[in-house]
Amino acid sequence: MRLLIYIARRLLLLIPTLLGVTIVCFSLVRVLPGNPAYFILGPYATEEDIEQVKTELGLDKPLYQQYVIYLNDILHGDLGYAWHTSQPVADDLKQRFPLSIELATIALIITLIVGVPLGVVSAVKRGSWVDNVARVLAVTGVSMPMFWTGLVLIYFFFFRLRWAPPPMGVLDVLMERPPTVTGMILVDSIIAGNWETFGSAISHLILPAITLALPMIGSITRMTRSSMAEVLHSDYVRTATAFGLPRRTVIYRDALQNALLPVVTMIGVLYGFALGGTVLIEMIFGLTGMGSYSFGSIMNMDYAGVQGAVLMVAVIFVMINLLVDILYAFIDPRISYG
Amino acid sequence: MHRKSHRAPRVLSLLGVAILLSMLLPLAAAAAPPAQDISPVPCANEYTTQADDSLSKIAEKYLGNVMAYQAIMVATNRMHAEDDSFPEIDDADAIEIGWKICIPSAEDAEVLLAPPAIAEDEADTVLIVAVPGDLEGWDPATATYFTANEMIQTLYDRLLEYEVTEDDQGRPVADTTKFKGMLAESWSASDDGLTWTFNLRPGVKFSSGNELTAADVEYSFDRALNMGKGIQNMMLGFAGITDPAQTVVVDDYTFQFVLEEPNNLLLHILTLGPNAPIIDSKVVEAQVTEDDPFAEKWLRNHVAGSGPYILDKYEPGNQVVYVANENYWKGAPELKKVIYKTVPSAQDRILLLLSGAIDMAYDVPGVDLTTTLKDAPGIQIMHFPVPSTTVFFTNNTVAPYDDVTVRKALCYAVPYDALIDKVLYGLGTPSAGPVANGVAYQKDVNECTYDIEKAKALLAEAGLSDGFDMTLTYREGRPEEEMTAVFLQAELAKLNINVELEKIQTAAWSERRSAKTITAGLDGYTPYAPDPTYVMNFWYVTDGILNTWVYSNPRVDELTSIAVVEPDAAKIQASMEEAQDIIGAEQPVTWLFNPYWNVVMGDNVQGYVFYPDRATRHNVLYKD
Amino acid sequence: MTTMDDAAPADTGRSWWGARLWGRLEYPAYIIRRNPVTLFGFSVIVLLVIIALAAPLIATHDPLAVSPANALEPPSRQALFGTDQYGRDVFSRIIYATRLDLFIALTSVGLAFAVGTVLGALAGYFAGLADNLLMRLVDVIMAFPPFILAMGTAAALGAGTANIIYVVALIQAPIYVRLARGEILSAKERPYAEAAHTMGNSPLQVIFIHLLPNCVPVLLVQVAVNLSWAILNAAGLSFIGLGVRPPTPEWGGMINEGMAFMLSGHWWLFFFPGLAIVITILAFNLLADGLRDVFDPRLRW
Repeated sequence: MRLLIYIARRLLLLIPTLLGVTIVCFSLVRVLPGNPAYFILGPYATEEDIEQVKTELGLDKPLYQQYVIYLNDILHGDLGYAWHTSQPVADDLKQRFPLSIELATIALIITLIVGVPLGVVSAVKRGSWVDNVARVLAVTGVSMPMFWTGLVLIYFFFFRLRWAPPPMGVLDVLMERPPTVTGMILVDSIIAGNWETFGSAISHLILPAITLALPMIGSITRMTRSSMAEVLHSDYVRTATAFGLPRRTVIYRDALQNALLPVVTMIGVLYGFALGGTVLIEMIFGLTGMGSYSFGSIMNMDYAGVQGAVLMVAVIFVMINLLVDILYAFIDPRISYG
Repeated sequence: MHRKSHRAPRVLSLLGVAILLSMLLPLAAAAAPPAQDISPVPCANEYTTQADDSLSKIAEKYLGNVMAYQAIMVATNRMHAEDDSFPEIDDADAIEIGWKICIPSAEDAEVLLAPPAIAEDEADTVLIVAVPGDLEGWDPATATYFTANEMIQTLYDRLLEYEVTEDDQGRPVADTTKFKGMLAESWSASDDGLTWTFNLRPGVKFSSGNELTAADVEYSFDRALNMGKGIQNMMLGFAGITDPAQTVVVDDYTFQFVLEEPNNLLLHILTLGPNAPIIDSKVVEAQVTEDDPFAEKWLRNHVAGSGPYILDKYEPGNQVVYVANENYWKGAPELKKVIYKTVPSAQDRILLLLSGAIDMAYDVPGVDLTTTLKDAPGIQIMHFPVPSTTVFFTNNTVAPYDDVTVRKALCYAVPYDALIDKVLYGLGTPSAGPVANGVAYQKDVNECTYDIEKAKALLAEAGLSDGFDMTLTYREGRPEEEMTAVFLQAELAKLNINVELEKIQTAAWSERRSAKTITAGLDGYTPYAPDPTYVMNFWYVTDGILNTWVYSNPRVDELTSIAVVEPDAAKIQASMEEAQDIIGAEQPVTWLFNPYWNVVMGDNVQGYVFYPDRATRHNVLYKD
Repeated sequence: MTTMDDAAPADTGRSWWGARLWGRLEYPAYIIRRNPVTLFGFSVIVLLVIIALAAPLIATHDPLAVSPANALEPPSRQALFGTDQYGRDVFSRIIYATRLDLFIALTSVGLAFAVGTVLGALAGYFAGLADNLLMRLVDVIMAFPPFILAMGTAAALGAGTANIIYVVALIQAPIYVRLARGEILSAKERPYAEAAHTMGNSPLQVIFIHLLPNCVPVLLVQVAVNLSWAILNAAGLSFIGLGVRPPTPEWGGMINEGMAFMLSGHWWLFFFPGLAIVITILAFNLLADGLRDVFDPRLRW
């Protein structure tokens, strides 16, 4: 019950945040240099054409009216029409967001699979070679710009070794998508039982996901290590060991569980990093997700596209943070649901 | 305390590595690019064409099926690949007397005709093109971006097209001095040059199955005229067509344009892929709504055409897929599928080309054309001179650029050879003035060479030896303009001109160009119709829509309007040469160079024909 | 990031900011001297600062001098790191870029730190409506994945050095607001805060003289980490065309331009600026690790 109240409180707090987010999205596009009417009409537009399109877009109205219209449209589920893709923004988002979510999630899974064990081992065996390797990995992973690692990985794994598939799209060129259920290619492949598309999608996503994971592995390793070390030094671990419980049991049953709590809070931050990283990753790997969409909308002055995409990213990010917090509240016996 | 501690972590880390490796496994599985040749089909009969033969007649005679002409065409073309005594048939309607034609057996013909089950490897009938960006909508009335234009010309037909000839290197290119019928079988003009009659090809079907008639032709042009905006409307205006009353349906297969005065641009405009396509009036009208009387939204991402390809799939940002129109009136295209893949990174596009994963790439940097790809196996590169001109412009009404001496000084400060060498990597030629090589009545009026001393002297003459500040504007995403800008900045510094570089996004550029608020910048232009009046109308007459440099000379305006309506070639030449002389003397912009149009393809792609609108004609391509 | 348990002793002694700060930094300085890896990171940063300050003395050429005839020449005695597509000396450009990149990193993080810490401290101390509003604002900024927000604002402001600094500061400031607010919230309950208050100090004096200096070291770890993110974010913005304007040399922009020459074999164009970035970020991270050790010696790496 107290957990429910906590969740309700958090949901209430979301309202002002999301309102603020809409204001940011709205004002962001209005500050962008250039007027979308010129872009839509291309270089051959006359002044009358421009005025006509401005009216069509509602850009001749005062700002506050435009905002009210925008807010009203959002509440009615209408995100507008994206000129640079020639279809409703809602359709664009449906087609593009699932891929980025998958990409970010796979990157996060890789990060956790590699980073957490590495951090645990480093903490348990401080000063060992694992510890040193982990430190080197942690620091170098962060040091390289993603767009650079991405291209290097493509060069070696696609071009030289031919292990990775061509960096264009998420499926082999002539492969048909499985029927869309969730929009996520991996999930849809599983639902359709289509292992061919599943394998193709995995092989297309693995290099971008590794590129995205490299800078994150460092943070998670460092986090796990310090949190684990802290727990290992805590009184109860010492007490448990002193009472003759096998150290392995203590480490991997009791200590690990407690040490992973702060790691859970880290997931939200990393997810935000991964979502932002998709902008660069998708451009480098020729993927069609929300990163490339946000970028395309911004560069093409696509008001509705920018508003829709940025709003959607923010909503997803906020939701993930909320989930993480709830998860944390759920698994941490100490939290007071303040 | 440490006794038992090391096994578990080792297991854990091994587990991590194992999981990572297992995730890498699918990578190895996904590496098997298949590629084989099309093997010729044995000829059941060989036939030598005679006068009045047509492929469909032959098809009916030997195979009992008019439509089997496609099988004959394919069989002959495949024999041609092995045996030169067979001709190559590009166009089923253009066969010549004395050709040796391969007629397959009825069984083979059936196999060849069955569209999806063609007994070839799929990769050999698919063309994959890597493009850098989205297509931005392809309503013929409003589309202005290159990829959209290319798409329109592939998915729609026009009334006329250019004949094909060979350039000095023996490559097939459009002959822009000769027209031939496309949807119009023939055409004629009245003696006064005011009434143009087009006799339409009967039996042409849109991909909807509707027959194309004069009503569709009228609807296509009236739509743009009634819309009152957009590029198509403007182009028709250049051709002297401004009012729907000027488009006349005589009968189902006869259509007329009625002009108010003669117009030399009309036929050129009617060949332009992006600007004169004939759309399916029934299909489009069904999409009209009260808010959208011209079905603009629908046509931006749908197609209602009769072209050699049909739009199959559009996934914004990812791909556009066309499939062959098997009932195309010229015969079904050899390549059954054309896939445009969006690949934003130029490096990726090059690697994809080198690996053979794609057949063609757009926007490949000059440095890679001349090094990475130059002698790479499996790659062919073609450079075509196009009438594209890259210019360094200043607003002619803003001080100090309102002084022709200053403009001349800027012009003499440009290191032309270095730009061609370092920016284009040699893939271009010096510019001759406002009108580039390849355009009719072109005259070399560009007096400038790289001469810093002369530039200094000119600037001193204008009283500006101390120089001034300049903001040089160019567009984001154009590395060649950026390089030019940096070189110009360094050169102009020698004249004490302090140049600040301003890189802006395309949208901001569009707005400022329309508002004519760019004081100095870099731009390029390419006339799709190789006619000097087209160049003048867009870029040099006072109210030219792309006269970003705000140049104005009443005499140039007058000469242009004379040349557009003048029937006598000698008089056109005289007036256009005079206009070029004036512009050359007044130097409204500095003409930097004419870059080549570079086509990069896998060397198994054959049949490329170059047109001045630079769009690829996919239906004449084939793989061998 | 880990927020440390407040290890601060209830020190109510001198009320002089600088001395107090130094008191808090004496131990870190000791740690830096003692730990070789941290010392290495620290020395590299010192070296980079020296390079940045002495750039005109170290550079062998004018970083902006264009020379078409010498374009794309491999490393040699004349041009240590080769020349770029304009014939400019890559070595000299990297040296000058050190200046700009460190400047971007320091000013953006400094701006975020100053604004974020002050606002966070005030909000934490006074609580109430203003605090509430500020935290909602922070929530809004943090609702965006940082790079998305950076891209959006950079596009809105336009390319240029100053705008990059603002953008990077904007996405980092909320971290400091939250950290400083949290620190002040816990610190103001402590006896020494109470004491400072009853001795007649104004609230501002209490915040900035007594409370904040105790929190600075915790924030410094964050600063060291964020310096590297500032450089990476600037590089990322360069990659999507929203970076520093040409011809100004900047590492991210140089890598980005150089990558266009990767396949044509002109490796020096992206390798050397890449190396510069890696070394710099490595140094910042090692320093951050070292500073972290200071506050929790058990976790020393």
